[in-house]
Amino acid sequence: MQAVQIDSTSALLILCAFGVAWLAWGWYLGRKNKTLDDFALAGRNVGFALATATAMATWITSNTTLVAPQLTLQFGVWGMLGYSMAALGLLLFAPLAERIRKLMPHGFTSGDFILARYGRAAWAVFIIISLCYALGWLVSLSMAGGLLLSALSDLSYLTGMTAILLICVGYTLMGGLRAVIATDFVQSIVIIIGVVVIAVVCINTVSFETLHTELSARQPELLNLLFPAAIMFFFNNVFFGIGEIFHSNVWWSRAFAFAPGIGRRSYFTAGLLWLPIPIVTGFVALAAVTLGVVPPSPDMVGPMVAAKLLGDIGAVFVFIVVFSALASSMDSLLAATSDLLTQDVFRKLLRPDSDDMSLLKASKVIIVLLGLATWLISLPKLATLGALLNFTGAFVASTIWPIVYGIFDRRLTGKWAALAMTLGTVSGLCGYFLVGFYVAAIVSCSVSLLVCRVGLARATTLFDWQQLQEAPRVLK
Amino acid sequence: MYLSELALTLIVVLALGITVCVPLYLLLQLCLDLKGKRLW
Repeated sequence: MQAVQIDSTSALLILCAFGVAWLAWGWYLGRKNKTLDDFALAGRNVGFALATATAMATWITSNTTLVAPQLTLQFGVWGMLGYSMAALGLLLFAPLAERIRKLMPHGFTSGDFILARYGRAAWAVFIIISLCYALGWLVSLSMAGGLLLSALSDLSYLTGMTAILLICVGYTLMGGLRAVIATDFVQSIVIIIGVVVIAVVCINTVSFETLHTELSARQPELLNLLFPAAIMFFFNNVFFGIGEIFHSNVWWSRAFAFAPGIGRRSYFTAGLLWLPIPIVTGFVALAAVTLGVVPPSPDMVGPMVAAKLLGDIGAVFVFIVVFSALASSMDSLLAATSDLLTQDVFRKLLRPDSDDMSLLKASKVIIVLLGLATWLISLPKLATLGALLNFTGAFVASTIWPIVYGIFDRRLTGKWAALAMTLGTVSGLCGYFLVGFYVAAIVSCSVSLLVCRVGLARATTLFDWQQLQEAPRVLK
Repeated sequence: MYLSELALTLIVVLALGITVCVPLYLLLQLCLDLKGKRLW
């Protein structure tokens, strides 16, 4: 059976309506942006409600709405529970956010911290990892946009992917982080109402009894609590989620942007509120068997089940929910990656003497170039969203311990931090190719920890926290 | 060892219950921030 599709005119109308609304709001909020701090960090004074909503909405990505059901289809209950463990990243980042804000009151990016704390070598490794991850995530988001439209409407992959990128680049460019945070608030409400409605309709249409009976008879492995690969995935995702958040400038820029005293509370609350969402989105994939939905690719199972359950109106509904999930992450990633490129590449490497206004201009140009690069890479559909996402697990998990020790322990030096990230990434990639994607983050994180522990044991000097107060600085 | 129907129901209903409260909580916090002029 096929899911209901909406015609191309309706799809374009929805895109235009959202596009105009977000662009107008982005422009309105952008009028207050006078300095680089305003544009890149929303004036460094974001309150609790907006801070919590933006942390949560950014973490509800297309992957939460597309990959959580995909993983549930592949790994059963461990898939949705494992995905929800990514909330640990937000919860554990809470104390770090507080300390980051105190240690570096003038900081802009995670790269600023790594350079000031560890020096050039570790900074170079970290920037490569960060940019690989950011681009991988951006591409996975734009690919999701294309896949969503082509599956739920008559529009092509290219049209959907281009439209979502254009809208997000547009309002991020006009409003900076202020627009990103404000739209995130609305998008988080839209997404949650959407996933709740879909789950409730799913439960009403396919009762728990029918669902359990059908699964037990036709795909019992999805209910198997001792499914080895799924258990491994569960733990792998814990480290993957932590690695993603701890290293990414998306979360660091928010730590710098939130008002003093807000970071810890908002990240912790966002983590708690995010935790059940992958279970709600992933659960609907279990109904695919009963409903006879056969998705063209595993990552489309969620939207197709939802469209099947809700009919004509449902397709529009699902479209809006997934569009909001995509936009809420893509805008954050565009803003944070542009900050990283502006501060860590343009300022530190190319133009050390740039003033605030040149950096502001560079930041805007970089947002456009980033959007263009993402569009070009997304043109061919290289991999499924899950595969692309999990590939980056080997990279990001290697940064967890160097960041934790860097923030809380004065003994770890740059040499050992660089070695930990390099060896962690290499071993994680070996795990990815030799065993499977579900071990990449665990292997990477473990090797990185081992190297950091050796570094701590052999430490002879102590870092002076005062040096971070003066950051950001440029490479000499 | 397979997940029982009861356990599956409990997990999903609990997750759904918490998720329903999220928009209400966020809107309440937004009102408080607006009232206290702590939005930005």
